[in-house]
Amino acid sequence: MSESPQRLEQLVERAAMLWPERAAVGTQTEVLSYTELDSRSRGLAESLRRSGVGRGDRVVIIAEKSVYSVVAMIAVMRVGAAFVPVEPSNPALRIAKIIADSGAVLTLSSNPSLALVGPVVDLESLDSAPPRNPSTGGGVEPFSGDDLAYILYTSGSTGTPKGVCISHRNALAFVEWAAASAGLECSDRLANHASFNFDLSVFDLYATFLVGASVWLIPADGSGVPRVVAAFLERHRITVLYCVPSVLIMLLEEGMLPSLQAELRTVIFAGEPFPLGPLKTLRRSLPLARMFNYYGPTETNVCTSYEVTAADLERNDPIPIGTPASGARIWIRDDDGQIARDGEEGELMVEGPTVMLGYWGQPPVVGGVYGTGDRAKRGPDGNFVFLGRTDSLVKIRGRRIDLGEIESALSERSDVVDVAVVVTRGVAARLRAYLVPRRSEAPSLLDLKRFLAERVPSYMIVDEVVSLTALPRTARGKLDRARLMRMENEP
Amino acid sequence: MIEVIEERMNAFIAREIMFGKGAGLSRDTPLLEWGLINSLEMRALIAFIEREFSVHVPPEQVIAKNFASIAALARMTRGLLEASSGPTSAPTLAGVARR
Repeated sequence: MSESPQRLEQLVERAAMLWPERAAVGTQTEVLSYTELDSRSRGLAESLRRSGVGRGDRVVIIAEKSVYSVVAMIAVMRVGAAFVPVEPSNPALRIAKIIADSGAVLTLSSNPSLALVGPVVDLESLDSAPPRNPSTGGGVEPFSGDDLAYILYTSGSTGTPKGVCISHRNALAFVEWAAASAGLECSDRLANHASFNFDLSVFDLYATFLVGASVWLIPADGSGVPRVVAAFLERHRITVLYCVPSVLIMLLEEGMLPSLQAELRTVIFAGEPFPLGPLKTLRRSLPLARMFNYYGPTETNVCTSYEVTAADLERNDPIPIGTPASGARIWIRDDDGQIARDGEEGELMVEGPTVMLGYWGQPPVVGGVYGTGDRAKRGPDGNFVFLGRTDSLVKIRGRRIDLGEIESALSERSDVVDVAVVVTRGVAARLRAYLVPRRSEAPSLLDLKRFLAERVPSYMIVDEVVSLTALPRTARGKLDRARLMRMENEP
Repeated sequence: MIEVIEERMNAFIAREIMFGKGAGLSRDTPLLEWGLINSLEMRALIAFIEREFSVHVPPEQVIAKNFASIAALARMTRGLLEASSGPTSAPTLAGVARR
């Protein structure tokens, strides 16, 4: 095999040759060595091939936090297909939309009720099938690094999730940069907190496999509860943690980070701005750890990075998103479409090896340049600074939500004439729906929750509802979000 | 006793999580599935259970099954109460009897 892998599954094949007995991936109850991960994924790949799955196909994986999910991802890539990871907490209707949109030939799940929406194969039963011919590994087949590796579905404004298409080359450009930049070593033990449809998990899994380290999957149920996460980190002596800031803040609030400092040597965060106050507390709680603030939408993975050091304890302004990463070229486009000067605001543009192929079912990205829709500027020190967004895309606890998707779902109700959803920022971010009911009696909050639970993932279900006789509109008839936000305290 | 626990749980969720708009909330309402409980609310509920019933909720009890509904939460809480009071004591437990 060539020295530098061209595809993600080759990381596992190579690790199995170099470090067969090392732990690769584990949970509370199970651990697979690199040999086991390699042979199990080879076995599953064989079964997939027999089921007719091949190069260019898509396979949806209802990805529980189990070693099976990881085996499944590797196996799908080994037959030249792309995997589409979907969080199990998604309602069946949304999973069906994703299966239909991606044109998946197969869905791998441990939940047989999904069989309603297409062929479903039980992961655990397939997994045990032994390889018919152990010599036919995926590595010998002429697959390309430019092939589609996976599709990550993100919230879409129209009510249908959008599939971000990432090639092996895209993913590896990030993984190789990140492993080097964070100084990963084979002795590291990484925690995986993010779900597998969230691109933070790409680092957790594939940077681990690149260097022959091990990755430990935090169970989804308790991933938002400090004592559960802290106990997990302690038990598995985690050395590298990559997660959204809200997870670190919650650990800080409960005083659970200092006890981890003996092992935890690298902390990486991304997904949303890290408020300065808690960030300083984090820096003080883990004085010896290296810390990185990564930035990048799913469409580009990480394209800038900033290392947070003790010097940032003196700062009074928010930390920057840093300088270009993963081989990307970054610039700010001003409102006239020109390259902005330093200090001038505009849209953050990305060109480079991690920029996605495109959205599934839509034309490819033009010229390899992706406009993020994020407002930013470049500071005098060369660091880029994130300023916000202009559209209906929001982040809640690092999760990307297009408010349009929630609005579109609610407008399907016959008892709702008009609807707008906003994020309120009190002690915690909450989703509030403003609606104009058809009759005098508005639907109850529980009613709306039940309705949304059938259509969107649980983190997109509204927390509050306010009834209005009409939504505020601008002179041109557009929804006046600014005025709506001011109405939030007069329900 | 379980009814008392459920009642307190219901009152807490209606007041603190649904901001007083808890009409229709029942012991079987799917709390996780309908997005009533996300990570933040889960933490608030754990803090409430520990304060209200004087029990400790250990990490291994923080699983979806135990937070799926008010009935499930009450079952878990009762189990914790029984475990903390030992097998011989009667169900007149400090936390529940307080009010």
